[in-house]
Amino acid sequence: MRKTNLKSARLLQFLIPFTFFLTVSSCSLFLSAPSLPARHALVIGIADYQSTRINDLFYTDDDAMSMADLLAAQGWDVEETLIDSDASKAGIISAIQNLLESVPKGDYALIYYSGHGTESNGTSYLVPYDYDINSNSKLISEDELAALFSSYAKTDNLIFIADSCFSGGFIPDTEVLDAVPSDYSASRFSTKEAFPFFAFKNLAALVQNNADSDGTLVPMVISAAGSLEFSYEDFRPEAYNYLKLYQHGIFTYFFLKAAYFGDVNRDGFVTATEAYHYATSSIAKEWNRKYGTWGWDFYPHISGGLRDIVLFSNKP
Amino acid sequence: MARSVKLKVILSCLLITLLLAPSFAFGDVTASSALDSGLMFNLVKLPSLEWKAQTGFQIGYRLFLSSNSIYNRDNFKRPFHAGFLFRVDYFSFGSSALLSDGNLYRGFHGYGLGLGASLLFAPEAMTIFNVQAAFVADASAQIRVSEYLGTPLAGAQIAGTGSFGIRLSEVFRLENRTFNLLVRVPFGYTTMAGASMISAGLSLGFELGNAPSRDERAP
Repeated sequence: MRKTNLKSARLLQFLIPFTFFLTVSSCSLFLSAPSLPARHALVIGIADYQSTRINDLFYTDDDAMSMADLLAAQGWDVEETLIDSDASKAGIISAIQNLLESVPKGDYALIYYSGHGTESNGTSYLVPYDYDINSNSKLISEDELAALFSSYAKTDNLIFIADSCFSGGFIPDTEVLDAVPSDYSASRFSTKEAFPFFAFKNLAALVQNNADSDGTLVPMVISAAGSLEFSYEDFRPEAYNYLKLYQHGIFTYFFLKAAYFGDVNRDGFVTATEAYHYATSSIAKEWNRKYGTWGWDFYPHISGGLRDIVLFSNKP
Repeated sequence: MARSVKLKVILSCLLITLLLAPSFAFGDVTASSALDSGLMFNLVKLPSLEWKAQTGFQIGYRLFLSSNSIYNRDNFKRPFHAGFLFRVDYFSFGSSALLSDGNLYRGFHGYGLGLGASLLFAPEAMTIFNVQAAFVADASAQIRVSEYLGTPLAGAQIAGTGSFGIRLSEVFRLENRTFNLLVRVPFGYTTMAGASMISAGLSLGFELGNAPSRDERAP
Protein backbone atom coordinates (compact mmCIF):
# COMPACT_ATOMS: atom_id res chain seq x y z
CA MET A 1 0.00 0.00 0.00
CA ARG A 2 2.76 2.31 0.93
CA LYS A 3 4.64 1.46 -2.25
CA THR A 4 1.54 2.11 -4.33
CA ASN A 5 1.06 5.48 -2.71
CA LEU A 6 4.67 6.28 -3.31
CA LYS A 7 4.36 5.32 -6.96
CA SER A 8 1.21 7.41 -7.33
CA ALA A 9 2.88 10.35 -5.68
CA ARG A 10 5.89 10.02 -7.97
CA LEU A 11 3.63 9.76 -10.98
CA LEU A 12 1.79 12.88 -9.90
CA GLN A 13 5.06 14.65 -9.22
CA PHE A 14 5.95 13.97 -12.81
CA LEU A 15 2.55 14.60 -14.38
CA ILE A 16 1.77 17.94 -12.77
CA PRO A 17 4.98 19.74 -13.81
CA PHE A 18 4.75 18.01 -17.19
CA THR A 19 1.28 19.33 -17.96
CA PHE A 20 2.25 22.80 -16.71
CA PHE A 21 5.38 22.72 -18.83
CA LEU A 22 3.36 21.53 -21.81
CA THR A 23 0.96 24.42 -21.51
CA VAL A 24 3.33 27.28 -20.91
CA SER A 25 6.09 26.16 -23.20
CA SER A 26 4.18 24.77 -26.12
CA CYS A 27 3.75 28.25 -27.49
CA SER A 28 7.36 28.01 -28.57
CA LEU A 29 6.09 25.75 -31.37
CA PHE A 30 4.79 28.91 -32.95
CA LEU A 31 7.79 31.11 -32.36
CA SER A 32 8.89 32.89 -35.44
CA ALA A 33 11.69 35.44 -35.50
CA PRO A 34 10.19 38.00 -33.14
CA SER A 35 11.19 41.62 -33.08
CA LEU A 36 10.35 44.26 -30.54
CA PRO A 37 9.37 47.77 -31.57
CA ALA A 38 11.27 50.84 -30.35
CA ARG A 39 10.72 51.31 -26.63
CA HIS A 40 10.75 54.59 -24.72
CA ALA A 41 10.63 55.19 -20.98
CA LEU A 42 10.13 57.93 -18.45
CA VAL A 43 11.36 57.15 -14.94
CA ILE A 44 10.37 59.12 -11.85
CA GLY A 45 11.65 58.71 -8.29
CA ILE A 46 11.05 61.02 -5.35
CA ALA A 47 12.73 60.45 -2.02
CA ASP A 48 13.38 63.93 -0.62
CA TYR A 49 10.22 65.99 -0.63
CA GLN A 50 10.20 69.77 -0.65
CA SER A 51 7.93 70.08 2.34
CA THR A 52 9.42 69.18 5.69
CA ARG A 53 5.95 68.07 6.75
CA ILE A 54 6.12 65.07 4.45
CA ASN A 55 8.22 62.13 5.56
CA ASP A 56 11.06 61.64 3.15
CA LEU A 57 11.51 58.22 1.70
CA PHE A 58 14.84 56.47 1.59
CA TYR A 59 15.12 54.28 -1.46
CA THR A 60 12.67 55.59 -4.05
CA ASP A 61 15.35 57.60 -5.86
CA ASP A 62 17.49 54.44 -5.94
CA ASP A 63 14.47 52.58 -7.31
CA ALA A 64 14.20 55.05 -10.18
CA MET A 65 17.90 55.00 -10.99
CA SER A 66 18.09 51.20 -10.87
CA MET A 67 15.00 50.94 -13.08
CA ALA A 68 16.44 53.46 -15.57
CA ASP A 69 19.72 51.51 -15.67
CA LEU A 70 17.93 48.21 -16.20
CA LEU A 71 15.68 49.58 -18.93
CA ALA A 72 18.64 51.17 -20.71
CA ALA A 73 20.56 47.89 -20.50
CA GLN A 74 17.51 46.15 -21.95
CA GLY A 75 17.44 48.42 -24.97
CA TRP A 76 14.83 50.88 -23.80
CA ASP A 77 15.40 54.51 -24.67
CA VAL A 78 15.10 56.22 -21.29
CA GLU A 79 13.98 59.65 -22.44
CA GLU A 80 14.00 61.29 -19.04
CA THR A 81 14.73 60.39 -15.42
CA LEU A 82 13.12 62.75 -12.92
CA ILE A 83 14.60 62.57 -9.44
CA ASP A 84 13.39 64.55 -6.43
CA SER A 85 13.14 68.26 -7.29
CA ASP A 86 12.79 67.51 -11.03
CA ALA A 87 9.61 65.65 -10.23
CA SER A 88 7.31 68.53 -9.36
CA LYS A 89 3.71 68.21 -10.52
CA ALA A 90 4.38 70.45 -13.51
CA GLY A 91 7.61 68.56 -14.23
CA ILE A 92 5.91 65.17 -14.14
CA ILE A 93 2.97 66.24 -16.30
CA SER A 94 5.22 67.94 -18.80
CA ALA A 95 7.50 64.90 -19.02
CA ILE A 96 4.53 62.57 -19.51
CA GLN A 97 3.12 64.81 -22.24
CA ASN A 98 6.47 64.98 -23.99
CA LEU A 99 6.93 61.24 -23.83
CA LEU A 100 3.45 60.39 -25.09
CA GLU A 101 3.59 62.97 -27.89
CA SER A 102 6.98 61.77 -29.05
CA VAL A 103 6.25 58.04 -29.06
CA PRO A 104 4.72 57.03 -32.41
CA LYS A 105 1.94 54.51 -32.79
CA GLY A 106 3.22 50.98 -32.40
CA ASP A 107 6.19 51.84 -30.19
CA TYR A 108 6.23 51.08 -26.48
CA ALA A 109 5.95 53.84 -23.87
CA LEU A 110 6.66 53.04 -20.24
CA ILE A 111 6.23 55.33 -17.25
CA TYR A 112 7.66 54.23 -13.94
CA TYR A 113 6.97 56.07 -10.68
CA SER A 114 8.40 55.43 -7.23
CA GLY A 115 7.45 57.77 -4.42
CA HIS A 116 4.66 58.61 -2.05
CA GLY A 117 1.07 57.86 -2.94
CA THR A 118 -2.07 58.78 -1.13
CA GLU A 119 -5.81 58.18 -1.26
CA SER A 120 -8.86 60.24 -0.51
CA ASN A 121 -12.53 59.33 -0.91
CA GLY A 122 -11.72 56.34 -3.08
CA THR A 123 -9.38 58.23 -5.41
CA SER A 124 -5.68 57.42 -5.56
CA TYR A 125 -3.03 60.11 -6.06
CA LEU A 126 0.66 60.34 -6.85
CA VAL A 127 2.49 62.77 -4.56
CA PRO A 128 4.88 64.98 -6.54
CA TYR A 129 7.96 66.65 -5.04
CA ASP A 130 6.27 70.03 -4.51
CA TYR A 131 3.13 68.71 -2.81
CA ASP A 132 1.98 70.94 0.00
CA ILE A 133 0.08 69.21 2.75
CA ASN A 134 -2.36 72.14 2.95
CA SER A 135 -3.47 71.86 -0.65
CA ASN A 136 -4.41 68.87 -2.76
CA SER A 137 -3.95 70.81 -5.97
CA LYS A 138 -0.37 69.57 -6.27
CA LEU A 139 -1.39 65.91 -6.23
CA ILE A 140 -1.83 63.93 -9.45
CA SER A 141 -5.05 61.96 -9.36
CA GLU A 142 -5.86 58.73 -11.17
CA ASP A 143 -8.32 60.67 -13.33
CA GLU A 144 -5.73 63.28 -14.28
CA LEU A 145 -3.29 60.57 -15.25
CA ALA A 146 -5.92 58.68 -17.26
CA ALA A 147 -6.83 61.93 -19.04
CA LEU A 148 -3.17 62.52 -19.89
CA PHE A 149 -2.91 59.03 -21.32
CA SER A 150 -6.04 59.32 -23.42
CA SER A 151 -5.26 62.86 -24.63
CA TYR A 152 -1.64 62.53 -25.60
CA ALA A 153 -0.84 58.87 -26.25
CA LYS A 154 -0.54 57.94 -29.91
CA THR A 155 0.54 54.42 -29.11
CA ASP A 156 -1.65 51.70 -27.65
CA ASN A 157 1.37 50.05 -26.06
CA LEU A 158 1.47 52.08 -22.88
CA ILE A 159 2.67 50.72 -19.54
CA PHE A 160 2.46 52.49 -16.20
CA ILE A 161 4.22 51.01 -13.18
CA ALA A 162 3.68 52.62 -9.79
CA ASP A 163 5.57 51.67 -6.67
CA SER A 164 3.62 53.78 -4.21
CA CYS A 165 1.00 53.43 -1.52
CA PHE A 166 -2.61 53.15 -2.71
CA SER A 167 -1.43 52.75 -6.31
CA GLY A 168 -4.09 50.12 -7.08
CA GLY A 169 -6.45 53.00 -7.87
CA PHE A 170 -4.56 53.60 -11.11
CA ILE A 171 -5.61 50.22 -12.50
CA PRO A 172 -8.21 50.84 -15.22
CA ASP A 173 -11.48 48.92 -15.25
CA THR A 174 -11.57 45.96 -17.60
CA GLU A 175 -13.76 42.90 -18.09
CA VAL A 176 -12.28 40.97 -15.19
CA LEU A 177 -12.57 41.04 -11.44
CA ASP A 178 -9.48 41.14 -9.27
CA ALA A 179 -9.76 38.33 -6.75
CA VAL A 180 -7.31 39.97 -4.38
CA PRO A 181 -8.97 42.67 -2.28
CA SER A 182 -7.66 46.23 -2.44
CA ASP A 183 -6.81 46.03 1.27
CA TYR A 184 -5.10 42.66 1.14
CA SER A 185 -4.11 40.96 4.32
CA ALA A 186 -2.48 37.54 4.30
CA SER A 187 -4.28 36.65 7.51
CA ARG A 188 -7.69 37.39 6.02
CA PHE A 189 -7.23 36.29 2.44
CA SER A 190 -5.52 33.31 0.95
CA THR A 191 -4.34 33.82 -2.61
CA LYS A 192 -5.43 30.23 -3.16
CA GLU A 193 -8.91 31.69 -3.30
CA ALA A 194 -7.82 33.59 -6.36
CA PHE A 195 -8.52 30.92 -8.93
CA PRO A 196 -11.20 30.72 -11.55
CA PHE A 197 -13.98 29.59 -9.20
CA PHE A 198 -13.79 33.08 -7.73
CA ALA A 199 -15.61 34.26 -10.85
CA PHE A 200 -18.74 32.35 -9.79
CA LYS A 201 -19.23 34.94 -7.06
CA ASN A 202 -20.07 37.57 -9.68
CA LEU A 203 -20.88 35.40 -12.65
CA ALA A 204 -23.65 37.45 -14.24
CA ALA A 205 -21.72 40.72 -13.96
CA LEU A 206 -18.57 39.18 -15.37
CA VAL A 207 -20.40 37.62 -18.32
CA GLN A 208 -21.97 41.02 -19.00
CA ASN A 209 -18.57 42.76 -18.68
CA ASN A 210 -17.10 40.31 -21.13
CA ALA A 211 -19.96 40.82 -23.58
CA ASP A 212 -19.55 44.59 -23.32
CA SER A 213 -15.81 44.49 -23.87
CA ASP A 214 -14.88 45.64 -27.37
CA GLY A 215 -11.22 44.69 -27.14
CA THR A 216 -9.90 48.26 -27.08
CA LEU A 217 -6.34 48.23 -25.80
CA VAL A 218 -6.12 50.01 -22.48
CA PRO A 219 -2.86 51.07 -20.81
CA MET A 220 -1.31 48.22 -18.91
CA VAL A 221 -0.91 49.24 -15.27
CA ILE A 222 1.02 47.46 -12.56
CA SER A 223 0.70 48.77 -9.03
CA ALA A 224 2.77 47.84 -6.01
CA ALA A 225 -0.24 47.87 -3.71
CA GLY A 226 -4.02 47.85 -3.63
CA SER A 227 -6.03 51.05 -3.68
CA LEU A 228 -6.50 50.86 0.08
CA GLU A 229 -3.12 49.72 1.29
CA PHE A 230 0.45 50.80 1.79
CA SER A 231 3.48 49.55 -0.05
CA TYR A 232 6.82 49.39 1.73
CA GLU A 233 10.50 50.00 1.25
CA ASP A 234 13.49 48.49 3.03
CA PHE A 235 14.34 49.62 6.51
CA ARG A 236 16.66 52.57 6.91
CA PRO A 237 20.31 51.90 7.71
CA GLU A 238 19.91 53.29 11.22
CA ALA A 239 16.99 50.95 11.97
CA TYR A 240 17.75 48.05 14.28
CA ASN A 241 16.26 45.55 11.86
CA TYR A 242 18.08 46.86 8.78
CA LEU A 243 19.28 43.84 6.87
CA LYS A 244 20.84 45.49 3.81
CA LEU A 245 18.78 42.97 1.94
CA TYR A 246 16.63 44.99 -0.38
CA GLN A 247 17.83 48.62 -0.33
CA HIS A 248 14.88 49.46 -2.57
CA GLY A 249 11.16 49.62 -2.46
CA ILE A 250 10.13 46.03 -1.84
CA PHE A 251 8.03 45.81 -4.99
CA THR A 252 10.70 47.42 -7.15
CA TYR A 253 13.40 45.17 -5.72
CA PHE A 254 11.58 42.07 -6.89
CA PHE A 255 10.38 43.65 -10.12
CA LEU A 256 14.00 44.41 -11.03
CA LYS A 257 14.93 40.80 -10.27
CA ALA A 258 12.12 39.64 -12.53
CA ALA A 259 14.16 40.79 -15.53
CA TYR A 260 16.54 37.93 -14.79
CA PHE A 261 14.39 35.32 -13.09
CA GLY A 262 10.84 36.01 -14.26
CA ASP A 263 10.75 34.18 -17.59
CA VAL A 264 8.22 31.51 -16.63
CA ASN A 265 7.77 29.93 -20.05
CA ARG A 266 11.45 30.27 -20.97
CA ASP A 267 10.73 31.85 -24.32
CA GLY A 268 13.45 34.44 -23.78
CA PHE A 269 11.05 37.27 -22.95
CA VAL A 270 9.79 38.54 -19.62
CA THR A 271 6.35 40.01 -20.17
CA ALA A 272 4.60 42.49 -17.90
CA THR A 273 2.46 39.64 -16.59
CA GLU A 274 5.47 37.42 -15.92
CA ALA A 275 7.33 40.23 -14.14
CA TYR A 276 4.23 40.96 -12.08
CA HIS A 277 3.85 37.29 -11.22
CA TYR A 278 7.48 36.99 -10.17
CA ALA A 279 7.35 40.13 -8.02
CA THR A 280 4.02 39.18 -6.44
CA SER A 281 4.97 35.63 -5.54
CA SER A 282 8.36 36.79 -4.22
CA ILE A 283 6.74 39.44 -2.03
CA ALA A 284 4.32 36.84 -0.68
CA LYS A 285 7.14 34.41 0.10
CA GLU A 286 9.85 36.73 1.31
CA TRP A 287 8.20 39.86 2.70
CA ASN A 288 4.60 39.09 3.63
CA ARG A 289 5.59 35.93 5.45
CA LYS A 290 8.04 37.83 7.65
CA TYR A 291 6.22 41.11 8.14
CA GLY A 292 2.61 40.12 7.60
CA THR A 293 2.20 39.60 11.33
CA TRP A 294 3.12 43.27 11.78
CA GLY A 295 0.33 44.19 9.38
CA TRP A 296 2.82 45.22 6.70
CA ASP A 297 1.72 42.71 4.10
CA PHE A 298 0.63 44.02 0.72
CA TYR A 299 -0.24 42.65 -2.69
CA PRO A 300 0.57 44.11 -6.11
CA HIS A 301 -2.13 44.37 -8.77
CA ILE A 302 -2.21 44.36 -12.56
CA SER A 303 -4.73 45.45 -15.14
CA GLY A 304 -6.79 42.99 -17.15
CA GLY A 305 -7.26 42.37 -20.84
CA LEU A 306 -5.92 39.66 -23.07
CA ARG A 307 -2.97 41.61 -24.40
CA ASP A 308 0.45 41.32 -22.77
CA ILE A 309 3.60 43.36 -23.37
CA VAL A 310 7.26 42.34 -23.34
CA LEU A 311 9.29 44.29 -20.78
CA PHE A 312 12.59 42.48 -20.72
CA SER A 313 14.37 40.17 -23.10
CA ASN A 314 17.11 37.63 -22.68
CA LYS A 315 17.55 37.41 -26.42
CA PRO A 316 20.53 39.17 -27.97
CA MET B 1 -9.31 20.36 7.26
CA ALA B 2 -7.87 23.01 5.01
CA ARG B 3 -10.32 24.58 2.64
CA SER B 4 -8.42 23.52 -0.48
CA VAL B 5 -8.30 19.90 0.75
CA LYS B 6 -12.04 19.95 1.42
CA LEU B 7 -12.66 21.27 -2.05
CA LYS B 8 -10.51 18.56 -3.61
CA VAL B 9 -12.35 15.87 -1.65
CA ILE B 10 -15.74 17.24 -2.69
CA LEU B 11 -14.70 17.51 -6.33
CA SER B 12 -13.25 13.99 -6.32
CA CYS B 13 -16.45 12.57 -4.80
CA LEU B 14 -18.51 14.46 -7.36
CA LEU B 15 -16.39 13.14 -10.20
CA ILE B 16 -16.56 9.55 -9.00
CA THR B 17 -20.32 9.81 -8.53
CA LEU B 18 -20.75 11.22 -12.00
CA LEU B 19 -18.47 8.61 -13.52
CA LEU B 20 -20.56 5.87 -11.96
CA ALA B 21 -23.78 7.53 -12.99
CA PRO B 22 -24.71 4.73 -15.42
CA SER B 23 -25.18 2.49 -12.42
CA PHE B 24 -27.97 4.72 -11.31
CA ALA B 25 -29.87 4.80 -14.55
CA PHE B 26 -33.61 4.75 -13.95
CA GLY B 27 -36.65 4.08 -16.05
CA ASP B 28 -36.06 4.42 -19.78
CA VAL B 29 -33.31 6.93 -19.23
CA THR B 30 -29.80 5.62 -19.43
CA ALA B 31 -26.63 7.50 -18.85
CA SER B 32 -23.09 7.12 -19.93
CA SER B 33 -20.16 9.16 -18.79
CA ALA B 34 -16.85 9.88 -20.41
CA LEU B 35 -13.53 11.37 -19.44
CA ASP B 36 -11.23 12.70 -22.09
CA SER B 37 -8.24 14.93 -22.44
CA GLY B 38 -6.29 16.31 -25.30
CA LEU B 39 -4.15 18.97 -26.85
CA MET B 40 -5.89 22.12 -27.93
CA PHE B 41 -5.01 25.00 -30.20
CA ASN B 42 -6.59 28.37 -29.74
CA LEU B 43 -6.56 30.99 -32.48
CA VAL B 44 -7.10 34.39 -30.92
CA LYS B 45 -7.50 37.91 -32.23
CA LEU B 46 -8.14 41.26 -30.65
CA PRO B 47 -9.65 43.78 -33.10
CA SER B 48 -6.48 45.86 -33.36
CA LEU B 49 -4.01 42.97 -33.26
CA GLU B 50 -3.32 40.01 -35.50
CA TRP B 51 -4.36 36.37 -35.19
CA LYS B 52 -2.05 34.19 -33.16
CA ALA B 53 -2.14 30.66 -31.82
CA GLN B 54 -2.05 29.57 -28.23
CA THR B 55 -1.54 25.95 -27.35
CA GLY B 56 -2.81 24.15 -24.31
CA PHE B 57 -4.82 21.24 -23.12
CA GLN B 58 -8.32 20.38 -22.04
CA ILE B 59 -9.64 17.75 -19.68
CA GLY B 60 -13.33 17.06 -19.92
CA TYR B 61 -16.07 15.06 -18.31
CA ARG B 62 -19.25 14.35 -20.26
CA LEU B 63 -22.50 12.86 -19.12
CA PHE B 64 -24.95 11.67 -21.81
CA LEU B 65 -28.56 11.05 -21.02
CA SER B 66 -30.58 9.14 -23.56
CA SER B 67 -34.05 7.64 -23.58
CA ASN B 68 -32.73 4.62 -25.48
CA SER B 69 -29.73 2.69 -24.37
CA ILE B 70 -27.17 3.39 -27.03
CA TYR B 71 -25.34 0.31 -25.91
CA ASN B 72 -28.11 -2.10 -26.63
CA ARG B 73 -27.10 -4.07 -29.68
CA ASP B 74 -30.71 -4.19 -30.77
CA ASN B 75 -30.75 -0.46 -30.86
CA PHE B 76 -27.74 -0.41 -33.11
CA LYS B 77 -30.11 -1.51 -35.85
CA ARG B 78 -31.46 2.00 -35.59
CA PRO B 79 -28.31 3.91 -36.39
CA PHE B 80 -29.16 7.31 -34.95
CA HIS B 81 -29.30 8.04 -31.26
CA ALA B 82 -29.75 11.42 -29.66
CA GLY B 83 -29.45 12.52 -26.10
CA PHE B 84 -28.79 15.33 -23.72
CA LEU B 85 -25.26 16.22 -22.84
CA PHE B 86 -23.84 17.74 -19.68
CA ARG B 87 -20.16 18.55 -19.71
CA VAL B 88 -17.49 19.96 -17.41
CA ASP B 89 -14.12 20.98 -18.76
CA TYR B 90 -10.86 22.26 -17.42
CA PHE B 91 -8.80 24.10 -20.01
CA SER B 92 -5.45 25.81 -19.94
CA PHE B 93 -3.68 27.79 -22.65
CA GLY B 94 -0.20 29.25 -22.52
CA SER B 95 0.63 32.72 -23.75
CA SER B 96 1.02 33.18 -27.49
CA ALA B 97 4.28 33.81 -29.23
CA LEU B 98 5.21 37.40 -29.93
CA LEU B 99 3.09 39.18 -32.53
CA SER B 100 4.80 41.15 -35.24
CA ASP B 101 4.01 44.41 -33.41
CA GLY B 102 5.63 43.26 -30.16
CA ASN B 103 2.43 42.42 -28.27
CA LEU B 104 1.33 38.94 -27.30
CA TYR B 105 -1.74 37.27 -25.87
CA ARG B 106 -1.89 36.27 -22.24
CA GLY B 107 -2.28 32.68 -21.18
CA PHE B 108 -5.36 31.70 -19.25
CA HIS B 109 -7.00 28.71 -17.65
CA GLY B 110 -10.44 27.96 -16.36
CA TYR B 111 -13.47 25.74 -16.11
CA GLY B 112 -16.49 25.34 -18.31
CA LEU B 113 -19.97 24.01 -17.59
CA GLY B 114 -22.04 23.13 -20.59
CA LEU B 115 -25.43 21.80 -21.65
CA GLY B 116 -26.22 20.53 -25.08
CA ALA B 117 -27.16 17.66 -27.31
CA SER B 118 -25.27 14.62 -28.50
CA LEU B 119 -25.74 12.44 -31.56
CA LEU B 120 -24.46 8.97 -32.28
CA PHE B 121 -24.47 7.35 -35.69
CA ALA B 122 -23.65 3.67 -35.57
CA PRO B 123 -24.02 1.76 -38.83
CA GLU B 124 -23.91 -1.86 -37.91
CA ALA B 125 -21.36 -2.69 -40.56
CA MET B 126 -18.91 -0.13 -39.30
CA THR B 127 -16.11 -1.85 -37.44
CA ILE B 128 -12.54 -0.89 -36.70
CA PHE B 129 -10.15 -3.64 -35.57
CA ASN B 130 -13.21 -5.89 -35.34
CA VAL B 131 -14.77 -3.55 -32.84
CA GLN B 132 -18.11 -1.88 -33.39
CA ALA B 133 -17.48 1.77 -34.17
CA ALA B 134 -19.73 4.79 -34.27
CA PHE B 135 -19.59 8.39 -35.32
CA VAL B 136 -20.29 10.76 -32.46
CA ALA B 137 -21.00 14.45 -32.49
CA ASP B 138 -22.21 16.94 -29.95
CA ALA B 139 -22.87 20.61 -29.53
CA SER B 140 -23.31 22.60 -26.37
CA ALA B 141 -23.45 26.07 -24.91
CA GLN B 142 -20.97 26.53 -22.16
CA ILE B 143 -20.45 29.04 -19.42
CA ARG B 144 -16.80 29.48 -18.60
CA VAL B 145 -14.91 31.01 -15.74
CA SER B 146 -11.30 31.78 -16.42
CA GLU B 147 -8.26 33.41 -14.94
CA TYR B 148 -5.28 34.95 -16.66
CA LEU B 149 -2.25 32.83 -15.79
CA GLY B 150 0.00 34.45 -13.22
CA THR B 151 -2.64 36.95 -12.11
CA PRO B 152 -5.62 36.94 -9.77
CA LEU B 153 -7.86 38.35 -12.53
CA ALA B 154 -10.99 36.26 -13.02
CA GLY B 155 -13.57 36.60 -15.77
CA ALA B 156 -16.48 34.72 -17.31
CA GLN B 157 -17.52 34.01 -20.86
CA ILE B 158 -20.15 32.12 -22.83
CA ALA B 159 -18.82 29.72 -25.42
CA GLY B 160 -20.26 27.60 -28.16
CA THR B 161 -18.53 24.25 -28.22
CA GLY B 162 -18.83 21.00 -30.04
CA SER B 163 -16.96 17.93 -31.07
CA PHE B 164 -17.06 15.11 -33.57
CA GLY B 165 -15.21 11.87 -33.55
CA ILE B 166 -15.29 8.13 -33.46
CA ARG B 167 -16.23 5.80 -30.66
CA LEU B 168 -14.99 2.23 -30.43
CA SER B 169 -17.64 0.38 -28.49
CA GLU B 170 -17.10 -2.27 -25.88
CA VAL B 171 -13.35 -2.34 -26.05
CA PHE B 172 -13.59 -3.81 -22.61
CA ARG B 173 -16.57 -5.20 -20.78
CA LEU B 174 -17.20 -6.07 -17.19
CA GLU B 175 -20.61 -7.62 -16.44
CA ASN B 176 -23.07 -5.10 -17.80
CA ARG B 177 -20.57 -2.25 -17.72
CA THR B 178 -18.92 -1.30 -21.02
CA PHE B 179 -15.76 0.64 -21.65
CA ASN B 180 -15.62 2.50 -24.93
CA LEU B 181 -12.75 4.41 -26.46
CA LEU B 182 -13.32 7.89 -27.84
CA VAL B 183 -11.23 9.84 -30.33
CA ARG B 184 -12.62 13.32 -30.76
CA VAL B 185 -11.95 16.61 -32.41
CA PRO B 186 -13.30 19.21 -30.00
CA PHE B 187 -13.82 22.76 -31.23
CA GLY B 188 -15.34 25.94 -29.97
CA TYR B 189 -15.86 29.65 -30.38
CA THR B 190 -16.00 32.35 -27.77
CA THR B 191 -15.19 35.98 -27.24
CA MET B 192 -12.95 36.90 -24.35
CA ALA B 193 -12.10 40.47 -23.45
CA GLY B 194 -13.27 41.54 -26.89
CA ALA B 195 -11.08 38.98 -28.65
CA SER B 196 -12.42 36.30 -30.97
CA MET B 197 -11.25 32.82 -30.13
CA ILE B 198 -11.52 29.70 -32.24
CA SER B 199 -10.28 26.55 -30.63
CA ALA B 200 -9.78 23.05 -31.95
CA GLY B 201 -7.81 20.04 -30.89
CA LEU B 202 -7.60 16.31 -30.59
CA SER B 203 -8.66 14.38 -27.54
CA LEU B 204 -8.61 10.80 -26.38
CA GLY B 205 -10.90 9.43 -23.78
CA PHE B 206 -12.87 6.55 -22.45
CA GLU B 207 -16.55 6.21 -21.86
CA LEU B 208 -18.27 4.16 -19.26
CA GLY B 209 -21.74 2.93 -20.06
CA ASN B 210 -24.35 0.33 -19.42
CA ALA B 211 -25.21 -2.56 -21.68
CA PRO B 212 -27.64 -5.36 -21.23
CA SER B 213 -26.03 -8.54 -20.08
CA ARG B 214 -25.46 -11.08 -22.84
CA ASP B 215 -28.46 -13.07 -21.62
CA GLU B 216 -30.71 -10.04 -21.88
CA ARG B 217 -29.78 -9.29 -25.46
CA ALA B 218 -32.17 -10.06 -28.21
CA PRO B 219 -30.98 -12.91 -30.38
